[in-house]
Amino acid sequence: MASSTFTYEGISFNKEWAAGISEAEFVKHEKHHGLTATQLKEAYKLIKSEVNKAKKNQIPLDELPASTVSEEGKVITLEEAKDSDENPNP
Amino acid sequence: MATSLCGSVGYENTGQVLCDIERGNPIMMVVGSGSFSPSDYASQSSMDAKIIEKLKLANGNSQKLYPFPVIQGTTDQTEAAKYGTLGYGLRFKLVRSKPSYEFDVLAGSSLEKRLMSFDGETVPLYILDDKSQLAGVKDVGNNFIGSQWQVGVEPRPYGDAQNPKSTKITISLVDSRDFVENAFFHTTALATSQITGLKDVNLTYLSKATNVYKIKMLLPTAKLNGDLDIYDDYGALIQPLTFTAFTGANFTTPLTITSVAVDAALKALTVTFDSTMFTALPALAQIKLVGPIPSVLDAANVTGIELISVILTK
Repeated sequence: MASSTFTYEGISFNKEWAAGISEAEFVKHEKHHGLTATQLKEAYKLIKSEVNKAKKNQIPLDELPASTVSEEGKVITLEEAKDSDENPNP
Repeated sequence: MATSLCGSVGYENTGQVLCDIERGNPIMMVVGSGSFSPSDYASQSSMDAKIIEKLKLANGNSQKLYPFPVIQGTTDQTEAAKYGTLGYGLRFKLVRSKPSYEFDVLAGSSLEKRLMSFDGETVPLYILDDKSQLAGVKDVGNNFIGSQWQVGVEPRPYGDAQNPKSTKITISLVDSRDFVENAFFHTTALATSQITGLKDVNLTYLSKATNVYKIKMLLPTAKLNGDLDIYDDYGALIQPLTFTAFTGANFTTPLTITSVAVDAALKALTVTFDSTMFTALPALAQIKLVGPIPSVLDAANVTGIELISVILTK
């Protein structure tokens, strides 16, 4: 898959795709793999959790101090922001 | 006062460099337009790493290198220099010699099919000799590149119970100056066992149920029904890697793959496309399924193969 994957019980799921649909849609769409509904729901929760965790590590552009916004206007991670504050001219 | 033009015709000093480079016996040819910048060949290790990197590039990449099988015999077929003589016997050299060689290599019928794609082609080519010297030339940017050779491939004939037979590869140098004036040599630490080519493995349609496709991974051979299924060796290693799919004119429209799994019973991959996007495709729409590139496969310990895309039909 072009997008990043999350592997559950030997199946690589497209994380970005799964994060954009409901649990019911996910279960219905991926039921052919032979996993139980419970397993699919667990996979979905784990994917959502991982995607949400990644999102939390990013600071929205409008909440960034001006000094940490790149010239290209890119959103940077907390760690990058911290590094940038500690070492403004690396 | 000068009385001759000898100082202006470009003669060069003729002092001998001790322990100078001399050609050995050819043991391998490496074909392709892969080039090496001065920073690449700044050290033996960086150059060798770059050679390996270019061997593992996907087919179609302009920097890819294709190693030929190890050479088992050489016949010098160099076109001799031509001379002419004046009436009283003074002999002149009219044209310099033209390097040309015939090499014996061991190649099975499956590999011969691949080698034939080089038959009759004029290609950049490096020659590795048994002194571990890789010969090429430099371009105007000081990049190390293969010199241009005309290549011929003759398949192994039937045996005659008298002499061993082999596949013959002939090469003839386009510009004789590339053999001397323009020649440069990289001394490599690589063994021929490290300079190996990739094998094509075809992603192959097996079956489908609406948007769920079963895909085999088969290495084609010249043997009838002899395609090799790499599933047992590599299926589980390939399944977690990145696959992509495209549809539309010239396959420029991405089609989302929602999951990839192994099907142990069928020894195949189960590739699922987004059902909404799939349903929206017209009947008989074509989908190009693309596997991970060789360097990604290699990093996942799937070595020596390239997955070849497959065109699927809705």
